[in-house]
Amino acid sequence: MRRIRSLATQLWLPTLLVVSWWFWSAQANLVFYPPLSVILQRFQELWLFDRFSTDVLPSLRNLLIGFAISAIVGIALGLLLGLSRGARSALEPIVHFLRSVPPVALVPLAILVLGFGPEMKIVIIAFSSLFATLIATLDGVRASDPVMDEVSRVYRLSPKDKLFRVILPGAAPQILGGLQVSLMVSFIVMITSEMLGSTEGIGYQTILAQQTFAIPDMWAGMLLLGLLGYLFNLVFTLAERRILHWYTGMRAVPSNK
Amino acid sequence: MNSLAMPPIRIMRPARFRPVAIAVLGAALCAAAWELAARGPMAGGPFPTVGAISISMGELSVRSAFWSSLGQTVLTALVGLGISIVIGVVFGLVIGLVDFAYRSTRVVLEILKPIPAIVVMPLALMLLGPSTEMGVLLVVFGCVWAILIQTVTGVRDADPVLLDTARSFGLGRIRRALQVVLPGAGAFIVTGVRIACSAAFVIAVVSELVGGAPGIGRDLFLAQGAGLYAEMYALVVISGAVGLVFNSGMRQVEKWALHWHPSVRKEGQR
Repeated sequence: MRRIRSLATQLWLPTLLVVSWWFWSAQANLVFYPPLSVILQRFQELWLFDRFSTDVLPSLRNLLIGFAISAIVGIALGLLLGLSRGARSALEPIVHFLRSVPPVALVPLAILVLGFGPEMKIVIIAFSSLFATLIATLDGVRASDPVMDEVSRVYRLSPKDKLFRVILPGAAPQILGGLQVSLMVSFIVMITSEMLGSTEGIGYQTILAQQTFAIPDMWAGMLLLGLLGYLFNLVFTLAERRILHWYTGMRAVPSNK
Repeated sequence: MNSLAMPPIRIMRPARFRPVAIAVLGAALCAAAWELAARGPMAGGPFPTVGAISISMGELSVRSAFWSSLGQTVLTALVGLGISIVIGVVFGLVIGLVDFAYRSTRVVLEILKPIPAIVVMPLALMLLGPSTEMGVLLVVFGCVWAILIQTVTGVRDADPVLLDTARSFGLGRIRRALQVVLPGAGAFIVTGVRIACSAAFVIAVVSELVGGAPGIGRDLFLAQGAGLYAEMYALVVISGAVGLVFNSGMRQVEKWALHWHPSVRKEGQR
């Protein structure tokens, strides 16, 4: 009974919002706010599954490949800079500068260099989402427990063991935090690259619908993008909780210092 | 076996100038590598030389249109940020204090927070056109959730002993909220504002680049269309510098606003 009540307090507002949108838009008769029923109908016609393979799949493919590259390169470079003092002091200022460039500002440059194909999108997604992971990894490695370092030296761990059993797990919470930001940047840059230089993809279809005043289609595109943004975040949070279950467990237990 | 008994004491501290020198060297090496590539294998392509980019930056700096664009971008970001802070803190305070409001809004906030501002850009563009107002609206949409959620967290994290003390001193509801809860939540709020501050500049540039609002983002788009390659690179470098100010400037504001807070005071002592 208490669970039902708590569920009800959590869900009444979202339900009310959707229901009032439905009825308000049904009778409002405003050009910019078509009835929700029409938006959902267009959503179903467009994305399930007419344009699924021509627009949704290329978008998701670019996003996932770009994000995967940025994750691998970001963690590798972060480890390098975190473990080597020379490399760090030489490159850290440049890394911080490049991170401060708004990622979308690089899209026109990428179009210039690589044209309008999917390679451009993958490269620009990978490059701009690299820095969040890189800096998080760097911070995670540097903040590692010095006792761990000494213990692994005493036990004469091989460099490989030390990397995979001490350094990487120790920095994992930070790295995952960085990866989450990278995923969001990837998503934003994916949309931007499609809005600016493309003839396919969800972002392209949505901005095209806006420019041609196909307003229900525009709403349907925004709905899909919003849904995807929410889902990516949700999946990542769940994965993170699984990977870091040892860490949350460790932090939940009060330390007996 | 002396070294086992006593840890080695580091007398040789690295001189202060050394990291700076290495950093300058690193930057110089990167610039040199770029220059070599731009002159050699990539010559004539879409990679202008360092010299050409610097000349273009110089040209931009004497053009008043450039400065007004830059001002527009900064203004869009700051106005949006200011509106977000007001909305976020006011609503965050109410939602954090009223348990029913907290439970009711949780799902809505969790759904809205991960949606990037660019997703609602088509709608904003439709309603307001390629204008500064559209940019401000997007900045607010992109910044307000982080500040609001941080405020709620900070308010709910309020020290119960402090609250009881305030109550026993006879402070009313409103004074408790404004004089005890709100300053206590300060560190959380500032973290939210810092996240939002970096985002604000990026979103302002997006609204200009994709949405066509006036500012350096639109200049970048126009330079691409006109094939002014060196100018594009110059604008990207400048936007990086401004972004750096937005990222690090917030730390200074944080120190000033929270100079009394334990986390800042501890940092200062180091």
